Amino acid sequence: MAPVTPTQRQRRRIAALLTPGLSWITLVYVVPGGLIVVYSLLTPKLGGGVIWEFTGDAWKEIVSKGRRSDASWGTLGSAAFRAGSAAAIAAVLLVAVARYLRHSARPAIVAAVAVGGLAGVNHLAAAYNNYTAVFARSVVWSLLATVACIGLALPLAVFISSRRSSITKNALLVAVMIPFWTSMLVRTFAIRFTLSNTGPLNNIIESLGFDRQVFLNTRFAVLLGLVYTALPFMVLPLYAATERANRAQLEAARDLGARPLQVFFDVFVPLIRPGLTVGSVMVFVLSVSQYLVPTLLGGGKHNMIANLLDLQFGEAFNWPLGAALAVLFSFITIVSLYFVVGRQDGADLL
Amino acid sequence: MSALRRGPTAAIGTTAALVYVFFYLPVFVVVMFSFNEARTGGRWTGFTTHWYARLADNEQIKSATLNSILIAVVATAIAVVFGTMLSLALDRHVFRARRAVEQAVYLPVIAPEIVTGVSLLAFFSLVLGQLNDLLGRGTADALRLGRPTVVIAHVAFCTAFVALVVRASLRNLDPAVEEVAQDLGASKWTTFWRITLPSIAPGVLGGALLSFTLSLDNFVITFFVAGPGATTLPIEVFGQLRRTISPEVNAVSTLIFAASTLLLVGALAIQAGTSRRRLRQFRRGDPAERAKPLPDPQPISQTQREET
Repeated sequence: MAPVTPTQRQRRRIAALLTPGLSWITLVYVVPGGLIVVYSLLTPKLGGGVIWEFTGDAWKEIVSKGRRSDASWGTLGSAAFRAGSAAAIAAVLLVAVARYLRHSARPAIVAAVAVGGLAGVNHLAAAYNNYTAVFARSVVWSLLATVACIGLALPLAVFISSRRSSITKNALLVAVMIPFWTSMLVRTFAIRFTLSNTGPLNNIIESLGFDRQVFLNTRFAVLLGLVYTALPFMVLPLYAATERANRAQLEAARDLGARPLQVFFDVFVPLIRPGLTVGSVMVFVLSVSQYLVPTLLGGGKHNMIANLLDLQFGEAFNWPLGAALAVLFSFITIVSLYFVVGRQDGADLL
Repeated sequence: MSALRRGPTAAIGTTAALVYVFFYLPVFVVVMFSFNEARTGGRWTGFTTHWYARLADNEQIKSATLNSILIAVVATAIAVVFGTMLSLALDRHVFRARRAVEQAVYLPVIAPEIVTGVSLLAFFSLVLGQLNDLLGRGTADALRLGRPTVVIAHVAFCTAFVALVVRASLRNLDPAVEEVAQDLGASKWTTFWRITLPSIAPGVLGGALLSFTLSLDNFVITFFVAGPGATTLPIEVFGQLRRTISPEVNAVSTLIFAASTLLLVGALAIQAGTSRRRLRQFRRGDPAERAKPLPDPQPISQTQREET
């Protein structure tokens, strides 16, 4: 269709089609989004709600050093030590891969420095105040969950895609779509029940003659829950991308003498990159805003951003502080989405 | 991926099998223990359907289920109409603000639910407070959070998902078919009812089922906008599993799992059935069907991307 300037009548028809849905979405997403920015600058009211007096208290609370903060010069030193060792380990691994692929090592060094920087910032944030600690934890755990999901979903996507019969393919795909469609609450509860102290897993461990273990309310349980709930969101886009990838190019690379790892990193990964981007964005956004997983599997000991917001709007009744945290969280999400999606293949992602 | 297949096939197959075990083992455990006699613990003591019978007498669960279904039906009915209208505007018309409108429609898909939840809580309490002042309602008869606020929130994200799904099926319908109908004298309205809607019906139905499921399952947004009067099933189950350990929670989880699996299989079967019927009519040479693009021969559209 050639882009034509719509006539008056057409314009009216377009407006009529758009108005109900668009205004509804605006009312529920855009207007409250603006309101929450205003709320973050107001005074809290006891028992919930706000008093319409402007103050910057909520934002001051977020940026000020926590009362029980152990941030000090020593912390800075140990953060630098952590950053350095994380960067060194990552550099050895990544540069080794780059060498094997006969690539320039520069991107690998950049990636290693980024990993180290993240480790250092995480350490500093954990010592600064409760809010920065929870934000840093949420981001780092969601990144870990994203990497784990890629590691598990990619073999599965390749496996499904390499089936010959379309009936097998569809059956395997439906088996991924069922958890995708099943309620998040039910799936989180399933992990909670399985891992619980008197649960089935511990009974098996006991009947094998070992002591019962505490799985629930640990870091392990929360990470497992993040991966478990987000995994289908990675498998489906990766499968679509794998299916679209041009086999002839993979064959050609092999025939021209590329080693398996080279075929994988130099040909296959660039081909499935749109799927990797979509899957990673979906898994990250889902994980970083998870409420059910840290609540039901972390037991209040391993809170994430959503627990902070719930606490301020629920029990603590400090709505402006909750609003400020929500604004900060949205800002971070939008900025990171822009960096991941906005610059490259963003247009045809969805 | 034959080039990759010659590589670490066994490792890929093993990982794939383990991922399926990972997906289904916890759910299977919950289903199994919903039939377990013991009140607590993870030891199998014998088969019973006692917990399902108890569930049938649980008034809170029953009224929460009713609430959930009512909200999902109303939200879906509105969202299907609004979402289809949005997708028609986006796919069949070119206009200046299209890119911005698209982004607004994708907003509910990517916005973190928790932010939507708390900002809606702030929004609704402000609006309801103003309304109560305006209408002079006291504490006794004040307007509060309840089913209407939940429906308002659900309609927004359901509309967005319906628009996405219907747009995908509009892309498969050649606009030329609609133009032909209009050249032959059909009005815009007739064209929509006789040509466009029947062609995209599987997409609309799929969008409706997705919207129904999303509304039924939604926890986080509902948690903040429901208030005490409109407890939905996920909220009730969440409350129960935090309060007590009872196999009743396993039983209700099993039922929710079964229901969403049935909804999904139903949605896929409808899509598969429609595309197979259209394929048959196409082969038989039905001229109306010939005019439409060749339907997908397989039930899941993603498998069509293979090129020979």
